[in-house]
Amino acid sequence: MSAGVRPDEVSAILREQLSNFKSDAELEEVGSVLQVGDGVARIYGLSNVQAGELIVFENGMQGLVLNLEEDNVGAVLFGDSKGIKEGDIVKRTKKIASIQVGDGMLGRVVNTLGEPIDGKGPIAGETFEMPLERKAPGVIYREPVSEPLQTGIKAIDSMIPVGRGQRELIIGDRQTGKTAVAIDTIINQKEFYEKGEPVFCIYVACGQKASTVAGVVAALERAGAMDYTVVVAANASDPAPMQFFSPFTGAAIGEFFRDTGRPALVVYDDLSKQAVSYREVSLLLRRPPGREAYPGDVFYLHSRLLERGAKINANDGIARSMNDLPDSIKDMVKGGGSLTALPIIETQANDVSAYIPTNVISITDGQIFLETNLFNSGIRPAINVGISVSRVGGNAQIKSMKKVAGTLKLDQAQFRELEAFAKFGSDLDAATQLIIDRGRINLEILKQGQYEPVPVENQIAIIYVSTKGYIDKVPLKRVKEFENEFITLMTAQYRDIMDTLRAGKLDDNVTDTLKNEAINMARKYTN
Amino acid sequence: MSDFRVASRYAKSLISLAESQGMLEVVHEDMQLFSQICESNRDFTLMLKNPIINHHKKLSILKGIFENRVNTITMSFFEIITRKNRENVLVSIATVFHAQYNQFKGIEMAKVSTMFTLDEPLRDQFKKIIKEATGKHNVELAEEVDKELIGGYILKVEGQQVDESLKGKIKELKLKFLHNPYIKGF
Repeated sequence: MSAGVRPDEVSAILREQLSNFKSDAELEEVGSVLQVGDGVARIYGLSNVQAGELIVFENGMQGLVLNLEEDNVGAVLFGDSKGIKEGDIVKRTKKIASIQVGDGMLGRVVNTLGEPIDGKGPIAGETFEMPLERKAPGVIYREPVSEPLQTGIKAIDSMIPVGRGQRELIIGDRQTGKTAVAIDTIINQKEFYEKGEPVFCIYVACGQKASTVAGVVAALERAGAMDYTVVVAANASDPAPMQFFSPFTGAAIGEFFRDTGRPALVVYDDLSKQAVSYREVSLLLRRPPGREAYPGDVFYLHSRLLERGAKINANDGIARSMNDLPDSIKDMVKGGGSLTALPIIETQANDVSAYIPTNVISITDGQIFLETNLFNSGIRPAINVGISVSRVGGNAQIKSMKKVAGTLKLDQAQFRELEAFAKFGSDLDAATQLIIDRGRINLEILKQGQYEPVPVENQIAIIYVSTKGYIDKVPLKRVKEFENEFITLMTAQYRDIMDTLRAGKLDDNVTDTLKNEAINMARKYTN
Repeated sequence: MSDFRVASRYAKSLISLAESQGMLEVVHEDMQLFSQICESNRDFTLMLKNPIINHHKKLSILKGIFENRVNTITMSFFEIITRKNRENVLVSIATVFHAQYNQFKGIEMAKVSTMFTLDEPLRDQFKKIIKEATGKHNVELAEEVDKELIGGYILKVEGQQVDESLKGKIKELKLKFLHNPYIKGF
């Protein structure tokens, strides 16, 4: 602690803590530790304990009951097993693993148990108990994905659109920018926060280095994105149970926003590390290993987590009758909320046919592939558009974007097919050459820097002029420069045009303006 | 406690055998005697658990000690145990047998830890509380004097406890202070 602690502050805390001093006798259910080691404890007694219940050890550490056996109870520890001895008393809490969630969590960094770890004091405001494990909403309470979730990344918003309530996987090798895509998406929600229709974001760091988490928090703070974001951190140094439960904590926080009728976005970074820590715990609990030594229920682990991502029916009445609603939020339930999930999976040497990647690919509504060779050749974000898909996002695109993106997708598909020929350097006919040249310009347009999400109207404007071929003559090296100047001009002088684009309209007035301005400006670049 | 499963099975069959022969009380007394000897004589327990000592030797030692002191059922039980090479669980069997006997007879086992030895009225008071709480009329109260409690008592009844000791309260307070949300944790 810093040196500048005021005495009255100390005495205030003392008074507050001491006032809760328990004086009445309480009957507790107890057991005793038989053996402890490797983060797993076997306990004798606790005959009425439930699976999934939290228990407390003598030194105040919490554990979670996972195995109920004939003569003992197997529990995982949420901390170091160092302070626990054989014969120690273990108490039941009679609480199924749950956390306290509230609006006061925004801007905070919490651990898997929902306790703040950023040193900014207790969570402010009212909190509600949300269970970590909760059944996903049933079919009746859901609605098709219809609203866009703007990621601010041109390649994604145009060709692999994500809708609110969708589960879109971000997959790729290490160092391909997976986290960057997710962070940019969170940062891009700032404009909605400023407009007063925030998309609440939850970033779950599971098994990451503490320095990486600190870096992410700093980046979010710099971008002013922490105001509407909660970070759940279970670092690599935390015990395995803390790590594999952290995505469930993220989901529980997201559900609080979802069920109170607000849109939320949760990033699970990353689920392959979560699977590894789950494997560790399962093996220690002597559950039989399966493929790649993962336990048999690793698919269910991910499917039940990702199923919680949903778009809830807009009707309040229907939403209120939703299954498995926690009692704490029953009277504040509203319809129309959504929980978008962006799980991240790290592959080894681009192998998507490994166990965990195939599992998660099959669970999610599409995937964004990031590739090392694209990253190294300067295409950043390194999204391989050819094999990335979004199964439901198309319905969620705004109309104007849908129109321009259709052409872009076609153009890029043709370009990829012909690109190989271009490498031979043989003489090509004019039509083929045009496709290749335009493809390269489009590719240049789709590049963007980290922490620089682009508003959707800007995306539409630049993609429109590029796919229409108005900037075919601009040299490749100057395309970025052109884009910057063009967007600056459009936002400065044609605010109404941009607003129309944002509203989803692409009428003649808009297209004419875009065309004239682009051709005019392109002329400057061609000489 | 790792031999709990084996012990509970042996104890269960011993109870049902003794019960069918109408010798339950006698066998229970025998097993209590056995437990007592184990508790008072560490060498005896170690001998039972020692894998190097031959089973025949163990049986003859058991015979030497218990031959004329226990019932024939108990003695033949010892014989079976040695034949099955389970002498090492015999101590646990005696403990589990006692627990199962109590369950069978509807006796509640309770343990109370205090700073000083209980006097008769206090003891009766504890028994009355336990009877009321569990609804069983036979209460077997084990007492323990623990100077570390500072004050108050700890009462344990079948997997439940009431911790009214000062030591427990201070510990709780200590844990509360350990948890400080003003310290950065990552």
